[in-house]
Amino acid sequence: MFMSAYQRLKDVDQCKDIIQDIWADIWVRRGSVEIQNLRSYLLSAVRFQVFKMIERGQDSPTFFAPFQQMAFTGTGADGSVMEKELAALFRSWLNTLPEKRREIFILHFANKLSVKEIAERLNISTKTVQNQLGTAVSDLRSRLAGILLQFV
Amino acid sequence: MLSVMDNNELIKLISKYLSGKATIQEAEFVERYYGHFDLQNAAPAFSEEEWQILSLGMRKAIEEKIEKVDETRLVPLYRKKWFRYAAAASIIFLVTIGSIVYMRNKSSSLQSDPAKGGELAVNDILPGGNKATLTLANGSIISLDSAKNGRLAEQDQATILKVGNGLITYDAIPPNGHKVEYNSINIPKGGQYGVTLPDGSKVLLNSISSMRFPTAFNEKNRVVELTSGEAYFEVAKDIDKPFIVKVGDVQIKVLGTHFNIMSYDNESVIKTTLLEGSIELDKNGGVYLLRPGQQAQIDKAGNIKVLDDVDLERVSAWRNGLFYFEDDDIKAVMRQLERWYDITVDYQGAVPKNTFTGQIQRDITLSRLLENLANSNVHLSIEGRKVVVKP
Repeated sequence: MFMSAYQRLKDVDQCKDIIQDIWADIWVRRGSVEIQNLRSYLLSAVRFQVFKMIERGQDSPTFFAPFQQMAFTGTGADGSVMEKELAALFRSWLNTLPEKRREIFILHFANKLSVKEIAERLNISTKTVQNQLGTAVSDLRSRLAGILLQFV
Repeated sequence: MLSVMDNNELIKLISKYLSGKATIQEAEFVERYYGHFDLQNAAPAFSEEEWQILSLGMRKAIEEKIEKVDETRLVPLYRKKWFRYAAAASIIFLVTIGSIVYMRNKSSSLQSDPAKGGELAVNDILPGGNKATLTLANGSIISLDSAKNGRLAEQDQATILKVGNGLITYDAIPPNGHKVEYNSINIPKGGQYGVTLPDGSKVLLNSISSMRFPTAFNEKNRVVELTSGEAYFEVAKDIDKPFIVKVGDVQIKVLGTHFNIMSYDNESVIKTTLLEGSIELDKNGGVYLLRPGQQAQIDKAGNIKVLDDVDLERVSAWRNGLFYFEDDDIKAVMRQLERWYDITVDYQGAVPKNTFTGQIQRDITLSRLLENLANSNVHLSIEGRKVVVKP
């Protein structure tokens, strides 16, 4: 249980809180809770608590790292297993976006078009593109360089 | 760390997931994201000694918490000190067992979700979910709902993996022969399931649907057969190898695009709707080219009609976890409920003439959904697995 949380948060105190809360909660509900499969119950309890912690706005660089990396994995076609999974993760995330936003993200990250190029191609303002991309700035290449340096 | 993607986006998705309001795509992503960490190396982060300190610390904290909880209650038996320590000790034992079992069995799936309790009214019916069976070339049948995440089967040309709740994927193995093997996926009433084919194309199948497909595509084309029901296709682009969906004597040829096919026996027409790209529909030599937003309707007599600017939101509502009704009569509404809730419908007296318009989540119980449909002219009740409709 601890490792399941630790793998995602890499913060001993946060993980300790999670484990302790789960057991105290089971104790409180000992009369009413019926557990059929202890292992899967505990693991989904950990998952729930990890999500809760992130939802409350707890800072956790480890948890957000794959989210930051996944946009830069290209197609993952000839990468490692890890890269493939990151690429699949990115595609899965793109699927959650509304049509227009998805198109902008694909043009930006997969086709590596700049904000200006996207604006011209879709006939919308650069401001709109920038808003849709969120915090991503126009100069993708300098950012990419920075990120590559961190992972080399 | 430079922030390229906005972390708040992820927080928002998780929040939606926790509140049960996420769409299928969103839930799929969140679960996959959480599972992603299990792929990373679980290097032992702590020494034996550190572990001991850690577990002792947690044990103490849990004991204190329990003590505090109990002081606020009046439960005489549990107030005895020895009882509390015994209980705490047994919990620590379980923690240890839990983590050992966990470490040994990392890749399997999570089944129950303690976060989503919820009482079910007597005589209510749960919504459909991720249910399907897979029939392999050798005739063996795998139930996908109970299967754990990870490798399901190895075949000559592909490895089948369950990659999340409601999704399997075919990883092609470089061909070692020319033998073509076929698998089929069958979705029961009240089910739906997604498949990623060896070329990366994605298919989401609705209730009472089945599809037959090869475990590896040949060099010329990619042919699958929708033998019944409804499916949404997102075809991976490959200009050299057209993707062909067969539905009875209709062939739909695509190069890379998104479209939906509905071909239920109890619906009057087969509907093929194009969302993106272009497709070619071929019925006994008659060829129709569809543009995005168009829908081809083929009736039982084989007549084809092409409609412009159909409501795409309506067509893909099921994929987004919604029922979408627009001026639908009670029978059309009930046909959808029959498929998703695995029920039958009994019309007693005159069939109400009302029509229904609106969108409703597909993940609510049947009684809650019926509450939304009933009115002074339409009375609905559940009897076992049957819905009775009265004027």
